[in-house]
This record gives sequence, C-alpha cells and structure tokens, in this order.
Amino acid sequence: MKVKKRTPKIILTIIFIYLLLPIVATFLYSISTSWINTVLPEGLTFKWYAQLVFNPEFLNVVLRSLVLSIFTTILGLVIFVPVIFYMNIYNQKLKAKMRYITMLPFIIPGIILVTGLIQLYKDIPIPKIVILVMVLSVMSLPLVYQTLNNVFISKDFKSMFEQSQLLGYGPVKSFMFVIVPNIKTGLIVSTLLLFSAGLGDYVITNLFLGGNYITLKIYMYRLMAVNGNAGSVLTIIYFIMLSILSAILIRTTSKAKKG
Amino acid sequence: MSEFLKIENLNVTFGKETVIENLNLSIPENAITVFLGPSGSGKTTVLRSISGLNRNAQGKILLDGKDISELPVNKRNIGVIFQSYALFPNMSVFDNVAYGLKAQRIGKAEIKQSVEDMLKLVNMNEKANSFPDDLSGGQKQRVAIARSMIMKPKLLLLDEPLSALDAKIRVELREQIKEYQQKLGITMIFVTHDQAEAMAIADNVVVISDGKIQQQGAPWDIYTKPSNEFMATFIGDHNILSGSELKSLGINNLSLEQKYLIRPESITLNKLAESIADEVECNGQIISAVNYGNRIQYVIAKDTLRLKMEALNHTLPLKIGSQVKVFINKAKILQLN
Ligand SMILES: Nc1ncnc2c1ncn2[C@@H]1O[C@H](COP(=O)(O)OP(=O)(O)OP(=O)(O)O)[C@@H](O)[C@H]1O
Ligand SMILES: [Mg+2]
Repeated sequence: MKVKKRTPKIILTIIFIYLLLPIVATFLYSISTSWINTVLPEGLTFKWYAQLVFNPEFLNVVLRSLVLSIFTTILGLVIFVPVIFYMNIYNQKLKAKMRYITMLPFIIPGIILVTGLIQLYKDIPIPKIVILVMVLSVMSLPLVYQTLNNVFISKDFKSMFEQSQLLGYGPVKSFMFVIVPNIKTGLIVSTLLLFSAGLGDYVITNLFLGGNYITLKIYMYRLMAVNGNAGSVLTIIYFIMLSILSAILIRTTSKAKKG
Repeated sequence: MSEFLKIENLNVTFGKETVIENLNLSIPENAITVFLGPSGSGKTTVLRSISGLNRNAQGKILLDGKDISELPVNKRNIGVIFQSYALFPNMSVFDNVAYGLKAQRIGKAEIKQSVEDMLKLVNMNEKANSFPDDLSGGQKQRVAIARSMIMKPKLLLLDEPLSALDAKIRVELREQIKEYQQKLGITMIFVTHDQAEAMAIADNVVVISDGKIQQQGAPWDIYTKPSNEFMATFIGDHNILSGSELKSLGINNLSLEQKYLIRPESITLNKLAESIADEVECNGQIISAVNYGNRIQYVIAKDTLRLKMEALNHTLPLKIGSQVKVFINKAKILQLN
C-alpha cells in the first residue's frame, strides 16, 4: 500500500525534472562562455545578457511585441466583452451558435487562415498589422469566451442588470456599476490571455508579415540560428515574462474561487 | 382611485407565439393585487410589460393617469422584486439599499438616514455591513424589498418573491410585506402560484390563465362566486356535479344539464343534531381519508358518485369502509355557467 501511495509523487517528480531540465540547460547555456565539447560549460559570464539588452534592435523587438500584444488585448476586449454580455443578458439563443464559432480557431489551421486572409485583403488598403491584430484576437476567442461566459453564468447578471435600471440607472451606467465590478476576475484573466496570445504567437505573425515585423518570438528563432547563447538569453527572458503572466493568472483565479 | 394602473389592449408575442392577447386590466391604488394563475399563463410577462423590461409589449399602460408605455425602464418609477433577489454581490447591504438613491441628487447624510430607517423597518439594521452572500434567503429578500421600497415607487411588482423560501419564513415575510404595504401606502402587484398565499395577502385577486383574465375580485368573491368552471376548479377544493347527478343524491329542482359546484366544507358527516332546513341527507361509504394535521379530507362514495369533504380533526378519524350519513347544504350549491 505504501508503495502505491508514493508512486504518483515519484512520477510527478520525474515529469517535473524532465520539464525543468531544458530550461535549466538553456539558462546555463545563456550564461556560459562556451559549451561545446564539455559536459559542463567552460566558464560563466553575463556578457550575452548585456549584449542583448544594450542592443537597440532588441528594444525595438520588445516594443513591437508589446504594441502587438496591447492592441490585440484592447481589440479582443472591446469586441468580446459586449458580445458575451449581450448573449447572456438579452439573447441566450445566440449562445448555441456561438459555441460553434468558438470552435473554428481550433479547426482551421494557421496556414490556411493566413493564406485566406492574404487573398481576402490583397486589394484592400488596410495595413497588414491591423489585420494581424484582428486575427490574433479572434484566434484567442475560444479561451476568452470560455472564461467570460463562465463568469456570466455564475450569477444572475440579467436580473442584476435589470434591477439596476429599475432603480433609476440607464443601461450604460448599469453596466459600469453592476456588471463590470462583478466580472472583474474574468476581465483580468481575459486580458492576460489576449496579451499572451499577442506575445506568444509565432506562426501567424511570421507567415503574415514575414520579415517586415520582427517580434520577440521571431527574433528568438532567428537569433538561435546565429548565436546559440544569445538565443538562450532571449528564451530565458521570454520564459520569465510568461511565468509572471501565469503567476498573476493563477493568483487571480484562485482568489476568485475563495470568495 | 380604482384605475390607478390601467392596461389597455396589451399584446405580447414571442416569435410566432402570442402569449398575451388584448389584455385589459385596472388596478386600485394603495392595495395589494395578486396575480394568480397556472405556470406559463403569462403572469411574469404582464409584470415585465408593466415595468418596461419586456421590450416585446404592445399596448397602452397608464399609471396614475400618465401614459408610461413609451418610457424606458429607469424612468417609470416602478419597483420589481424578483424571486432570485438580484442583490448586487459586490456591495454591502447598506450600499445595496442606497444604490437607487445615489442616482438621484440627494445628500450623503440624507441617504444615510433614509437607508438606516428603511433597514430598521425590514429589521435588517444589524446586517448593514454584511454582504449578500452572507445572508439567508429570507434576509436577502428583505434587503431586496428595502432596496425597492426606499425609492418610493408608484407601483411595486413582486414576482413570486417568496417561492424560494421555506414554509415558515414564507408566512412570516408575507405578513411583513402586507404590513409594509399598509405602513407606506405602496400599491403592489404580487404574483404567486400559491392560492393560500394569494387569499391571505390580497385585497384584490386577478386570476390569469392562458394569457387571459378569468376573473378579478376580492378574495372572498373569487372563492365563493367563481365565474366559470375553470375558476371553480382552480381555486380551492371542489366537487363538480351535474344536475342529474345531484338528483340521484336527492336534490331536486335543478336543471339536469347544468353543472354545479359544491365546496368540501358545505358537506358534513354523521351529524348528531337535527339537520337544518337547507340540508339534504343521504348515505355513503368512506373510500379514502387523508390526514392534513388539523383537518382530514374524506372521499365518500355513493353509488358511482364521489364526493370530497373535509372535517376538522377533533373527532376520532372515521375508518375507510365505514358507512356514513352525508349532509349537503343546498344553499351553498352554486350553478356554473
Ligand atoms: N423571452 C421569452 N421568449 C419566448 N417565450 C417566452 C418568453 N418569456 C415567456 N415566454 C412564454 O410566455 C408564456 C408565459 O410565460 P410567463 O413567464 O409569463 O408565465 P408565468 O405565468 O409567469 O409562469 P410561471 O408561473 O411559471 O412563472 C410561456 O409560454 C413562455 O414560454
Ligand atoms: Mg413567472
């Protein structure tokens, strides 16, 4: 019996080490002078970090990624929050249809989507970056929809919204005073999901804008091919950024559950 | 004013389904009007049309002589109490009750005073700083009622406000609502499924079925003078017999084709005293007895006829199968049309 109880722990530890090892190796690589024919790095240095951080190209890349993420987030929230609100308060029948729509990003592969979009917008004078922002926010619809919809079905928002109007507030004020404070957790989680969608995308951005708009993720792949150490530095920085985002996500959601 | 609220030609359709057709209704001021009707009969739909929450409603609604049919929800000065309370979970009890006043230009001190008074009235002043999630169902509903009453609405609509509560709290809160109504002089419409609740709280009852008004009147009249067979069967327990069936019980000179209503309490069993002039007597056998605590309901068989009657539970219960003498008060037999 004792063995059985311990087995899951051992398995978990092995998986954890298995997952952690590449990150540790990458980190080591990012601070090593050279690490080619030896078991461990020959010497340790932070020069790769310094080199990368003081490289103006790097700052540009970070800026571009931020621009992409921020606009993806804003657009996603501006579109999805009102739609999901409307469906839950005014027209529940739309929800069945919406379920199919939210599946689409899973069904359509990125390449087909991008090819289609390029065809579609070939002759329309909209900057491609705008289209990219739209695509990225739509691609995160499934997760954002799930998150916000779960918040909306957790309470009787329809009655609350109606009650606020009965007490003398117009629809906009009712939304601000009664809906927003009660879906705060969902809004924070959606923001982070959209933000990381913008930050983390490689396939669509690369296919769509090719070399014209180098984001963090694209820069990382390119750097990796040229200079392994510098590539590792970027990977580690990226990993830390995502860890921070995830930590915030986990904290907000677990707080919401507690009360 | 007996036409404080006046509904003219209300029509409501959802898609192809017509739920309310040409409904006309007047409601008196400073009284509790109860809407009573089976599930799906359209009670909530009428209520939502009055408050403006139902955007499919067509027709004219006059409140205190003013046409409000075109006004948005937040300009009608009508309060609604939902079965689900709909308290704002992010606000304390105090802030919930103060919410509506904050939309008006009223000073902080004045708001505080009104809220405290109102919380005292509904006996929730000690919970002012609690949050809705920490309250019981009955407490939540009292806060919701306070939140609506503080607005001094011209009309307060309560849609099955007590249905989610247990029996004891229901009766308590029902009496309190009646008390608030009398204290503050608010005109109320109270929707319920529960006949006993309707009879207990109403000054005026409107029975609705299938989107139509079956009868309107004082609770006493609704019970004693049902306007048709639906009303007779919907309110209270009943025996419905044809004139020829009554003839076989020894009640003559009634029209044989007509239907008649006899309430269970118009029938008595095995009386010791002489029967009074208006009573007819016949023999029957008890075939079922259901004990409700304070009273027992018997079903008596006389040939193929079945009669329901009720007796107070202060004598030894009669056994199933026993032969009994049945007395029917002729004066209480009501012809249905
Ligand atoms: N939003 C809606 N869309 C479509 N049909 C509706 C809608 N609201 C109500 N109905 C229909 O209108 C009819 C009356 O419903 P309503 O809710 O008014 O009944 P009710 O008397 O309040 O019933 P209950 O006692 O069960 O609350 C029902 O047949 C219902 O299906
Ligand atoms: Mg209803």
